[in-house]
Amino acid sequence: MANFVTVFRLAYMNLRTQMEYRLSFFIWLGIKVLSYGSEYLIVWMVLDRFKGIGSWSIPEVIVLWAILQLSYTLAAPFLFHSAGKLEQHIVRGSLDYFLVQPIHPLANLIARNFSWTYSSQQLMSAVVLVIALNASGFDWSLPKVCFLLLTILGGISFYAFTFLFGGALNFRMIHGGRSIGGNIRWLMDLTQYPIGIYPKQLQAFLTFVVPAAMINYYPAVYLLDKQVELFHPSLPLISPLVEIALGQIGIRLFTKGLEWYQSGGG
Amino acid sequence: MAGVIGTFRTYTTFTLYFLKTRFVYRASFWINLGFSFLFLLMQVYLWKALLGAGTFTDTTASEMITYVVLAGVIRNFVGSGAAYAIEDRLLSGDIVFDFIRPLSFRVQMLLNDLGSAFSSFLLQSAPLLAGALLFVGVNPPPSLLHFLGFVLLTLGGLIISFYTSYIIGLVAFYTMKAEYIDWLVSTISSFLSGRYLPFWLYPGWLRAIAELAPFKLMFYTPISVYMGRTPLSELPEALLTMVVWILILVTVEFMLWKKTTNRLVVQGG
Repeated sequence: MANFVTVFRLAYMNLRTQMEYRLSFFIWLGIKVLSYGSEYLIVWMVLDRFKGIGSWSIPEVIVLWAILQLSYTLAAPFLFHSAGKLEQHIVRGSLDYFLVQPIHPLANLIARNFSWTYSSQQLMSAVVLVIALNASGFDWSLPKVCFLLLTILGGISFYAFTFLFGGALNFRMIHGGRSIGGNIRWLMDLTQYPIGIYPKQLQAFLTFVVPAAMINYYPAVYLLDKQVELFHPSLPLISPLVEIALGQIGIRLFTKGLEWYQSGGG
Repeated sequence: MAGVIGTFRTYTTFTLYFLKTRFVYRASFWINLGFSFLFLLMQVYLWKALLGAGTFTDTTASEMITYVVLAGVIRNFVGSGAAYAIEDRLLSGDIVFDFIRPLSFRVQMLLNDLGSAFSSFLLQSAPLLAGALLFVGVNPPPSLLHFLGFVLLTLGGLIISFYTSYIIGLVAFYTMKAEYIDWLVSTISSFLSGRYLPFWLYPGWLRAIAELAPFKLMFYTPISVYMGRTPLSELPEALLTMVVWILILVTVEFMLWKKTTNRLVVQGG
């Protein structure tokens, strides 16, 4: 608990530091909205001419994309910079600084590198998700809304896993960690379209090897009552739980990596 | 003459050193390659699903697949890191070393980029293309001249990408931050370059804007020449546009460079 309070205080301090450069902070917010908004525009440009893909309408495909984006923008403020800078800390030997402080090194890294500039994207993704869900005829009943929240939590956990897993690998292979973590996140973009368009082997890869489809595709099958062929009928319901478990594994792996770490400095 | 050869040797050494730094982390290259190929495969399936055996605005699935493969190949080696490199060196003060070297700063940056592009071409683009030829199938160009046009335009695109990024980097001399502008420009260029879609599938208004900007020379123009969508009779015009854009960027860079270097203050000592 003491850790949480310290993390919050450090992150708040971080916000105040960033707000010292107020104009640049707000410019960042604007540019990020533009940049991520343009990705929705690309999906729309691809699909508009074809009126959707297979049995998925354009709003339904946008739901897939918005779940992905919202999960990412909720996980990234915590871990994008903290896990991303880990490689640099290891190479330069500055990780030692975090190891000798009276707070968990991961919590310390997160707090010091917390990024507040994702707020505009979070808001935009949430708004797009609600609009797309409405346009897809989503039933706003309590069980479905709860499952939607669980889905987002699962998505955040899986993204957290990719950051932490990549970070943990950095302890073993410099550079490799960043590229594996980054590539997995890149692969997740492939689930912006329903995975039913891919051959069975690739669907299996995205379900059982890198379970990116569990972030949005399987939960959306349940949320939007889609009638599609699945590897197993329970997949939509268990997906968020699998993702949350992966997030936990990510934290364990990262801690293991820290234990393994031997400073290069002296 | 001996002086020119000596300078050339120095420059090539720079490029070779940069190449060597990229070879150090082999594991990450294999990983990147594997994922690039997977990503490409998935785009291929997307277009197969969308187009099937039919056509859309005269585009068949095999044409779209050729387009995304070539865009993937180009994306893997065109893309300048000059803006970030300048920002990084400005903030750390390392830029001072670049200024005291007996080599032009611009040329050092350009050679860094060329080294990076060359190594990415060898280690990313070429294997990706080989994989695509083996497993996916890419339509051949209608003639050798189409292919040569494609190669020339792609090289031009590489230079345009460098100069755009380098100019953004020079703006950092004023703002100390190149990141925002780089994001903004890369967002705009991803639309206007035809990186995801060929222009003939764009809505009319966006196509009109894209035709005016230089970014089309990075993806759309070379690929459409390769595919024969731009007929050979229009190739000289495309090449001329490329040269004009490079000249414009060089001029802008030259003017900006004169102003910015006078502002440079490096703290510390």
